[in-house]
Amino acid sequence: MESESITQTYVTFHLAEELFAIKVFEVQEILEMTSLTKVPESSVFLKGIINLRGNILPVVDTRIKFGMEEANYTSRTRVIVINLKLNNKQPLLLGLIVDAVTDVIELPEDSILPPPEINDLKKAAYVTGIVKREQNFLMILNTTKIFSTDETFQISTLAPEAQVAE
Amino acid sequence: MKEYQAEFLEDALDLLADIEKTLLELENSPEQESLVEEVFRIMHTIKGAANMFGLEAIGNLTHQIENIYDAIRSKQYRITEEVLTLTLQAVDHLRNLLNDRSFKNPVNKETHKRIEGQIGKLLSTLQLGEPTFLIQKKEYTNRITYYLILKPLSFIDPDDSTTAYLFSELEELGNCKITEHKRGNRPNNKGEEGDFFGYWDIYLATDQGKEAIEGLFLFVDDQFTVEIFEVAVIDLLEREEFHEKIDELEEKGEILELESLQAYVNELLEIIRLKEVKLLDTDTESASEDIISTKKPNTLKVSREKVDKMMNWVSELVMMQGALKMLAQNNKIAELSAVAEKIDLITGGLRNTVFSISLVPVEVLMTHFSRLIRDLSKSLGKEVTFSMQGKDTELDKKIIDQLTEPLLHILRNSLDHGLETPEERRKAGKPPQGQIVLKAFYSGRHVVIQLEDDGRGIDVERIRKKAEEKGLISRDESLSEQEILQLIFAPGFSTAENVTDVSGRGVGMDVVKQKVNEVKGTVAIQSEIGKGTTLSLKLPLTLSIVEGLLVQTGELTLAIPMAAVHQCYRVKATEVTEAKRFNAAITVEGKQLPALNLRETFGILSAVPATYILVSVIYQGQEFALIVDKVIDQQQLVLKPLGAMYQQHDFLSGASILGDGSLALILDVEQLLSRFKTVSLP
Repeated sequence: MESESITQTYVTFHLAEELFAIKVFEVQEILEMTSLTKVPESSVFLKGIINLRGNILPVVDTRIKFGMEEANYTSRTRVIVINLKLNNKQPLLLGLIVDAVTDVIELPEDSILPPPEINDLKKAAYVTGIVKREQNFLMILNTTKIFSTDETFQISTLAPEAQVAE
Repeated sequence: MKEYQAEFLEDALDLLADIEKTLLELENSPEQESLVEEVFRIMHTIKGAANMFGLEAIGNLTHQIENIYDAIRSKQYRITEEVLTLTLQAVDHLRNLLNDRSFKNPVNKETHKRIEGQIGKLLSTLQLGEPTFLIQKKEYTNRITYYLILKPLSFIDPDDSTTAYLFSELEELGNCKITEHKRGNRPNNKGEEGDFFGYWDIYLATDQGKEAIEGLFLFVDDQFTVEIFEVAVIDLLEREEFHEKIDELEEKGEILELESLQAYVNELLEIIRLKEVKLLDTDTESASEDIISTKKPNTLKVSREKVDKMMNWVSELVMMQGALKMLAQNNKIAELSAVAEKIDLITGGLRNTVFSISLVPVEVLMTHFSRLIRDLSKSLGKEVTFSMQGKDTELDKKIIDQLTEPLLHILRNSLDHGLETPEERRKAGKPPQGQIVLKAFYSGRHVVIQLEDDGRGIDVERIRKKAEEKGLISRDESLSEQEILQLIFAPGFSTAENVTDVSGRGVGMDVVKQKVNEVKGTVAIQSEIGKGTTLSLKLPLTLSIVEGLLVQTGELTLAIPMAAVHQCYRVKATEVTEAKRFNAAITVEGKQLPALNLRETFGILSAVPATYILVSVIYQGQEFALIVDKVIDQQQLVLKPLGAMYQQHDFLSGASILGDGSLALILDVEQLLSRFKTVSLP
């Protein structure tokens, strides 16, 4: 099944100086930044909700989530709608606010190197690989991992009502 | 045939449920013949269909049971406790067989043999012949002549056994005259030369009633349509004149119109009456109606999918109606506003009706409970009376389906551990019969289902000890009585000690709590030693469209469900600065109300308005005030879930998309206030 030149398609985006990539099949769509409705008592990175064609889409500020400085939204800011499949339950849609979406590219599997030692433990959990492209390093992300370790995300019906530790 | 088989299985399960209900009724009123008839008729229907689908085991078993009930209704046998219990067991077994038609499960094989054996024994004491439909000794036959038009829905192979089988079944119902009509053109150019596509005229005289006829066609309603008309209240087929007339018409090639048939029948009836002065015995006519009593309410079976689709459309409509309302208000066109208002009304009515479609009365649980109580009380040697209050209280069917098992489990526990034996009760000065009451009622936006017994009650100390033993709590942890009782629902609490044959089985109270939580409900226990125990399940009503009061606080648009709203008051901002703590009260119209300043609660920092609006709500019987900046409007809102990311936000039930596309957060008043309840109130 594995041949040398299998390629996967990725969507790449910017957060400050850094470039990230996620597999295209994890992406449902890409939206322009639109008005957000804030939800009180949310975690810092959970910016609010938006109306996505009649459904509620929670939106995350990816900079904050990755421990970077918050930035103003510009005309290039985009919301990447990803489809998370967690715990074999129903798929969950989530919006990721990014500075800009740069490209959709094909990456050969064998060009992906294992991630280097990343000091930030948070990031380490979800960077699954790294690719050198032209002058840049591209960090490959696993979206499911980004949130599955999140306390807010304990989808457990048996757990007693615990307050969110943030 | 496979597709039809699936439908048969579903229909058969419904029929078995009907039989079970009837059997339980029969136990209480064994003299009621109509109930025996019903059991017989349903067994017969299932037998017929089972044979048609080649399910021999089911067919044979139902055939034998049919024999028993035939004997009972022709008074050759009396209904006994033994027979009823056996029949109930057979019904259970048949249910299992429907899912295991080839006896993959060896337990089913054994049960089958056992039940067949017991039935065989019963039957041999009766020395019965074949069951007969027509009770021939009667003077007046009570037979009614029906005219049926049977049309296949697609082309039919003339050798198809289905039609042959149907016809033989019809003939068993009574005198029958079947005429085939071929039609030349095939409807869709399928099939080969000589294919049959036409219809059948059937005249049937039977005393079994229209329901029996409909029953025959129940399992093939995907292959045929049948129209049944009552033509005469006597058996026309015994009249030569009738046969002559029909043959005459056939030869002429005339298609018999229903009207002309009716006219002809009336003619014939006149002739008969004059000839033999045979009076229509109106007594036997109405008696025959009794026998064929329609106990089913006027209902329709609709697929769940269709209902869900309809709900979706209604939700969309409500959203659009909100948009229309906004447009009307913004544009101030009189006619538009009038139309928008009307549509508001209509949408509201439609919404209520559509949502009530998926609501069923809790009464449907009655049969399950009666059955369980009957069986268990016998095997445990306890005497129990069971009653239900608030049968008509309605709940979403999905919720009832989810809760049936948990409620049965709670019931089992009650019977097993809660209620004492008659001697114990006598010693305790209680009547020997234990009482179990199921109460259902509405409370605010919830439905409450309570299961109350007057048994031993729960020993809180024992629970505490057990929980300590299991390491669920530590020795020095201080817990309120309610908290200790809640430990019963903790996973890992059910012990081997509890797992008797009856209440074990891996269900467990923790599963009960889980299932209740899954439908967004809560469960609570109250108990008093020696007096009894009450379990209360609190469940939400269908809540996807709510009538809400839109309010503004800072930049937040919130919605408060109208069901919770009591009144609105205007207060000056200066008065409100006092209400920084929840237990400060605001005096309004002479009343002191505990108030919650939503700006404070939600950390809103924008400029404070000059006046506030107080929206008062009733929570646990008391009036509380929610302080907001202003009230926007009252509107129907489609509740959209916020999603898993906001699971912990229990004070919000969801969000709604307003007419202009913006979002409003819908408050769950109960949760919001319960947070603050722990703070001492005035």
